[in-house]
Amino acid sequence: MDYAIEISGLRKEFTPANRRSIKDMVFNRGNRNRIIACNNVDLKVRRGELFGLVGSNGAGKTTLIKILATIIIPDAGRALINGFDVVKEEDKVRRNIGLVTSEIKSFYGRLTGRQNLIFFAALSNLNSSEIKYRIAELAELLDLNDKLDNMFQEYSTGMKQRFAIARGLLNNAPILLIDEPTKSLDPLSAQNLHHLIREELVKKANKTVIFTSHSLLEIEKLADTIGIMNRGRIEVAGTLSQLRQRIGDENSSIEEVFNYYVKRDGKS
Amino acid sequence: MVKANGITLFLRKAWAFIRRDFLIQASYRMSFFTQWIGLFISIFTLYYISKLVDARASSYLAGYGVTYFPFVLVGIAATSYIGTSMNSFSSNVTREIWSGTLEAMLATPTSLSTIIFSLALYNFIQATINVLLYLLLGCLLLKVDLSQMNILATTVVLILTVISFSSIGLMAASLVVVFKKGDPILWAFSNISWFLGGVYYPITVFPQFLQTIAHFIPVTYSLRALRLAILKGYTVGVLKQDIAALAVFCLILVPLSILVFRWAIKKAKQSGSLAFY
Repeated sequence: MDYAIEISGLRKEFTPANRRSIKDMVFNRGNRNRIIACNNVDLKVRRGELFGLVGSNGAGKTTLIKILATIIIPDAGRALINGFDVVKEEDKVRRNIGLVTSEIKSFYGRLTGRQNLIFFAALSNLNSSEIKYRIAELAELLDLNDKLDNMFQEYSTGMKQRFAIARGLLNNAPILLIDEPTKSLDPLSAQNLHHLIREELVKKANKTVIFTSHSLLEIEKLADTIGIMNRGRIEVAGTLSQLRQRIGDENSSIEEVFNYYVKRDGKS
Repeated sequence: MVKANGITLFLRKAWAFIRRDFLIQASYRMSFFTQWIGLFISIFTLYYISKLVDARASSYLAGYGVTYFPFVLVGIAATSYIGTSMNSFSSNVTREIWSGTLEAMLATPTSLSTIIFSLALYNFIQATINVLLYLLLGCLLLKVDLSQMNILATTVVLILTVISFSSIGLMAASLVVVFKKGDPILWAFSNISWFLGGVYYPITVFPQFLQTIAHFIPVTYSLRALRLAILKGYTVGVLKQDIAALAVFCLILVPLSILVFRWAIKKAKQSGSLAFY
């Protein structure tokens, strides 16, 4: 089987910043206060698959995405993106991924949307003619044309989120890591984004997408394969019907499936 | 996507940073112009102060063969570069972490060292314009004689100065990355440098023990060599002692700053705090 993302035994612990002393920061100490963000995560995502990762706040979804994006180094285990190791081959990994975060402030407010995209496109190794072409293409795809030359700080939250998506698509990478893409969107914009991800990115462009969400309905609607993350661990992964079969109730709703896996240890 | 070699990619990215910073600064139209007015006023302020101190200062400035104004003009112009070298890395990293844009940059195929170097480029261009304006205004309006300037010696000293102070700046940026604060060290180093290095006065005005301490900081050698190269036209050969001292600072500080920087990035990636402030 051809996998775009392969993760095995991935582990990441953090000491929260408010409990971290200078000694902890220098010597990597502070084990007593550590929080396990990823706990021996094993996961395989097939090429061209739309994988939805769902979990409560603090389940470890964003940490996992950041490890895959080479922004955080794992403590143990291995993660491969298109066969490249996220720790040892981070440059090759970054050429193969597009990252979309829900952090819509991560743009320059005093620049226009177009100027922001030009800047990030240059960092994504595009030359000037490629930048021009790609921005025109994305503006069309994401309906940004009317406001491309307005100052970024003047945009609505939904518009900023669309620019965050455009930024993640600039380098036309085969794998997209999308962290809570509809967090700030109204229902209509969220529907449009769902259509974009499923029809344009996965079906037409054959991209592999791993996206996180709080919304069970969103995951049910969008994902080919669902992973339920709880306390740093991927409790289960599979299609919704496979997850239903595993709990022995093929008529159960996604809420019931989710609750089964996150509450079965009696701690959540 | 058309493949480009490493240097072309680096230049493209460096240009993207310069363009971005210019556009952001130009969007604040008022401050874009008032900074030049401020520079103009500061030169005239120094000029009139120099009229007050010229008679008393002449004995201390005998080695430079100039009056107080050319002496302080070169000192102020040089500090523009020194200040940029020391402060711009850490202040720009802090700004990018604050705005959340560092994380977005880190997800692109651009190394952190390229990002941090490029973040400071616009500041260096501004500092160069400042230095040229200081010297040009001093020369044209206030009759400072720069005809003897030795371009080669000035360039060599300036390059060594920028490298040694940028190493200090890079170490401060590394501290920002790990501890989210680098300014206490920069504050201390800047103040010691400005006080002991001889920006506004030659270090010969100090008692002997302070003069001894002054020889342990690079700014002392930078300022003395720059003044002698610009105002008296001293050659690289004549300035070899100061140049050798600056080269020693570079040899110590450059590898040290690279080590500290690598350590800092690894620490921040391990703690997951690279993009947090």
